[in-house]
Amino acid sequence: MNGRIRLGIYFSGALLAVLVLIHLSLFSYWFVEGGYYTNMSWEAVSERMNSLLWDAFYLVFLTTVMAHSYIGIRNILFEYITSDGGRRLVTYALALIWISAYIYGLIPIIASAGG
Amino acid sequence: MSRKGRKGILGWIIPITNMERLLYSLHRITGIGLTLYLFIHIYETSMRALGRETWISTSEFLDNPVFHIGLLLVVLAAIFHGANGIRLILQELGLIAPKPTQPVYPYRKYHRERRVYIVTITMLILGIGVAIFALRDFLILLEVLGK
Amino acid sequence: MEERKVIFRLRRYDPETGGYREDRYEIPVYRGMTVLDGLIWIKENLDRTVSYRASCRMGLCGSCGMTVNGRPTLTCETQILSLERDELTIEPLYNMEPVRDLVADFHQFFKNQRAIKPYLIRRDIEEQVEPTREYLQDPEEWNLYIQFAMCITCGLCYSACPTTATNEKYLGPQALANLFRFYIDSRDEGWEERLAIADSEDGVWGCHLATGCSEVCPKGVDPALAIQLLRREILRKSLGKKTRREARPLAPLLPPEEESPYRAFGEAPEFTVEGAEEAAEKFNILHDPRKR
Repeated sequence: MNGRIRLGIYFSGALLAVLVLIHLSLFSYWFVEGGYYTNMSWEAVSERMNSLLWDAFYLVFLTTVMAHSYIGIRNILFEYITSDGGRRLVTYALALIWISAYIYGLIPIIASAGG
Repeated sequence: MSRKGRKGILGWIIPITNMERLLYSLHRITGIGLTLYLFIHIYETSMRALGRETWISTSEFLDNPVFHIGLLLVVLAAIFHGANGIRLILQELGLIAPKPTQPVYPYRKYHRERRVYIVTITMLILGIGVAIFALRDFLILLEVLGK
Repeated sequence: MEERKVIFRLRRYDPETGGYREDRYEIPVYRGMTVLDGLIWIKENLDRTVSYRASCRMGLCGSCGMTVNGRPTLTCETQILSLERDELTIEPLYNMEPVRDLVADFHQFFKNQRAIKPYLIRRDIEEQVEPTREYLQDPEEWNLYIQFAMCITCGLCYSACPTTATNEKYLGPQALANLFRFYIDSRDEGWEERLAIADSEDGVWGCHLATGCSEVCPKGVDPALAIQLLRREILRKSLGKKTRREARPLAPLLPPEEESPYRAFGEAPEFTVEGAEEAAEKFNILHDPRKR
């Protein structure tokens, strides 16, 4: 097992620092009765999702965050599961979960890409 | 190989000997928390593909104090994880590592002083981050809860 | 002078039951008395069954490491009054298998130390075993590794590390710092081998920079710094950049008429103790790179 995969966590982490900042400054999450408080309403999100730039942003964001969390959780589990077989199992089992979640996360991006 | 005597998962928080050790524990706990949130968030946003009605009913379901406070915690965790993460990138890869030198008595004081400024800067970034994001969201939260 | 009393709570491991039990002892404390002095006082006056490990009593041998009030400490260097507590909890070192009472088993710790090849690796083994010339090294090069050569293998860093708390394969701060000590040594030529040992899940990538190791180190070794620097070297290597410079060439040959100082000692004297010859042979096999 090559530990150098951990380098990925630094690069994705540096990228995420910027992406999350954009993500957080854009959205005010708080809801009020009958819909979203600010730019989280169906119309506002639709408008953003129709722009190719935002689609690209979400694609990069999702990919980075998935890679980052995958390496992170794998790292934590590797501290508990120390046998080679167990580690291989962790690597593939986590990859399976993460790839399915990634595909799931792609749905709203792809669904809105055409408008 | 035996695990007898090893602290196990308690080793995350035992023994807390210094500031970075505490930051390590928090970084790990927030990391796991954020991963859990990530999966919920992916599920939640995938509701968009099901159309306008589902999106609005999801948003109405999420519109209660438990989720509001939960989201505030997530924002706080993300800011902490990010600010501490930047410190870790710089430090762990040795990008701002000092040159090793011959230790001088008393040894303990010696290397604590060298790292303390990095931790201080992290805390400063953290403070600014919390001030900008969390405070704003907290005020909105108060407003929403007041209605 | 008024006499001060401090309570020692010893968390003692019992190998027969496999559990811990806690004993309390009240001891009189004088100014300058160390925690180890307190343990010796208990053994002499209160309870002769208390087991602990200690040797030099001046922070050189590194055998008296114990957990005092939840912090790995060299007990011989820690004065009781400086802790400013009326009660001290003393436990065996964390993350090592306890043997009995306060004694911890360093088996895995020293196995890791051996795994990193703690000796100079030279390409010219014949020259290393039968030296004809000196290795050159200037103070700047010495400064690069002397901090990590201060290690007394007391195991406090291993005990303070959060990764060793679960991962028994992890090399640990001490071994990695020692690895870096040899890696950066200008006399060493085994840097590729050494980086390969460090570059694994259970090497430098197992570290998460909690720096508990550097905090508890009684000698200022700063293993966290060594791991950072090792990471930087691995990063440089994977980016195809220059890592360590070549080892320095040996000192120039002496003129033939001058006898080499290494040859001046003559033959070793005969062994006088029984069994010493076999022990010496064993030692030679262990330390002779030709027989490794």
